[in-house]
Amino acid sequence: MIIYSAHTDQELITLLRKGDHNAFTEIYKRYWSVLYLHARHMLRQEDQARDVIQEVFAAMWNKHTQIELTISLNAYLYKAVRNTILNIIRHGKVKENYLADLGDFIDQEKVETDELVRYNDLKRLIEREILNMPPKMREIFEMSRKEGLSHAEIGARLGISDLTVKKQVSKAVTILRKKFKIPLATLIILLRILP
Amino acid sequence: MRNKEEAEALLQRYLEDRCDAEDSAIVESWYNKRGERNAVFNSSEDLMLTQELIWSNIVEQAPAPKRQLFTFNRIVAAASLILMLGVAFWFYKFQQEQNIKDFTLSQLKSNDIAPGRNRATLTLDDGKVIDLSDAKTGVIIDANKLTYNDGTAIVKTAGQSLEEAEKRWLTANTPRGGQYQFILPDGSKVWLNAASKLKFPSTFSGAANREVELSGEAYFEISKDKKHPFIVLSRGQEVEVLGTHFNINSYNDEGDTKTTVLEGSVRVTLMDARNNGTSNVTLKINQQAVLTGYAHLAVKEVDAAEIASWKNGKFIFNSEALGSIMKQAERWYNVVPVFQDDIKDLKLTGAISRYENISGLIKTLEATGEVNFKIQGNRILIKKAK
Repeated sequence: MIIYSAHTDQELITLLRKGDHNAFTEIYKRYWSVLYLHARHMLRQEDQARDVIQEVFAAMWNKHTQIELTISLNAYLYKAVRNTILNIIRHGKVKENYLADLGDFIDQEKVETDELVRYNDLKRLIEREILNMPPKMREIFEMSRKEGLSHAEIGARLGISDLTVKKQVSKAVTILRKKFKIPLATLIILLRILP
Repeated sequence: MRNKEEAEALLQRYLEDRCDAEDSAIVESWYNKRGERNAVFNSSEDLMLTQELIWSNIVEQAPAPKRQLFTFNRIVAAASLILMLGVAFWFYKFQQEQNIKDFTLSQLKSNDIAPGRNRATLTLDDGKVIDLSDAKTGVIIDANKLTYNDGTAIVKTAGQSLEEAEKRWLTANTPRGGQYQFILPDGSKVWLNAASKLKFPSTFSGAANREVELSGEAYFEISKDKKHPFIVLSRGQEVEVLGTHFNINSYNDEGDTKTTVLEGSVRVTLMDARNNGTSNVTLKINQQAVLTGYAHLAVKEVDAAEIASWKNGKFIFNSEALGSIMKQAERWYNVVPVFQDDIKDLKLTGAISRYENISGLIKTLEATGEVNFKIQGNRILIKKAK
């Protein structure tokens, strides 16, 4: 038996190219929620956001034999979702507002665009959820996941008990899992791609 | 009108993949900005149902993929978890063995750490915290509004909290791996280095002095105003200036507070007034006051530009103690240095851009032939070179 959730994105893509259904299912399970929440945030409509995700994944399956990724899977999916959203914006009812806004933007913001587009992927979306955590929890969580410190080390640094650290970390994980409705293994994979 | 047409044409080109890098950057940064502007989408939607709903639509639209989203039963799930843990353990072992076996710079690549970037928060006196955009480089504070240094407004805070021209205290915080620039109400510029905090008022008018509080490191370019001295309070000392450029390094986890002048002059006064005689010194260009603890103040000649080089995106070390170098790396790369040999006092010389990954810094330091590094997750192991 092959455990798909233990595969890396790269391995999943290789399997997908060969037409492996389970690899496709795993990619969907791994990324749908982050992408969906992003689409919902941008479009502010649940049905449109669902359509976006559906379109992106259906397109991915339909051309699975030709997929050649030059960027990471998460960046690829993010890009596909963004283009689909921009397409909806271009044809939508409120198109005029968006275009006027983009028009103003073109005039004002010639500079600094390089900096702005450096964060073009899912990392940013997960990062945002982490930013929304209560400050103390966030601090502890980031020390644990990003700096790789042990509970005892964090406790020592902040002058609190190991147990408090452990509780805060597990609370933070619960918040993320609730938010993205994803299995623990998936969450760990997503956290690993954070900067 | 012309704008709208231009926008439509740009969007079309973008979607047809016919944009150059600059135009793509405009569309993408506009998109990111729209996202930032949108409020949180509150919803009680059941995401499990949504997941199933979208999946069933995908299956309908693209008939090939398997219909069942969740195939495995509990036993299989349990078995797979055990297997996964096994795989994870094996990977861990394998990696450890690799690390022990040999550690070369080429292996470093996959295990590198990105530099810090523009990140900071601003806390208002009512406790509200604003995350400053990492897409901008600085903030302008004016008596009644907050804007980014490119003129764009900081979302939803301006009118609300700083409306009245009365004095309110603001606190700027940079995390480890962050830096930010602030333009104060008198036009003075402050560059805040990583893991630092600057407290300042929303307006200086009405007060005799322009007073701010610093912990951590900052570079100041103070606007001239002889009638209103600019005063920086930091641990154990007060720095008074009329208009000049200087750097203060006052991290709590480092013993000394260092004040260095790049232009003009400043007066450093000990706040512990029991020390008569040495209670204040006046510093000129390329002089540095080193306050050790709360009582001992010494002045030495330095290359001030070198000390403030962080502000221009460089690390410049001139016979600098490795312990101090690693403190800077710790704050900028958000890493934990671990000394395996007692070489904190080893003096090293080198220069490199702060915007390189940590491997760049490590290579530069290793080139001295005196020290070796190993990256292990977020820890940097430091050993004497054999």
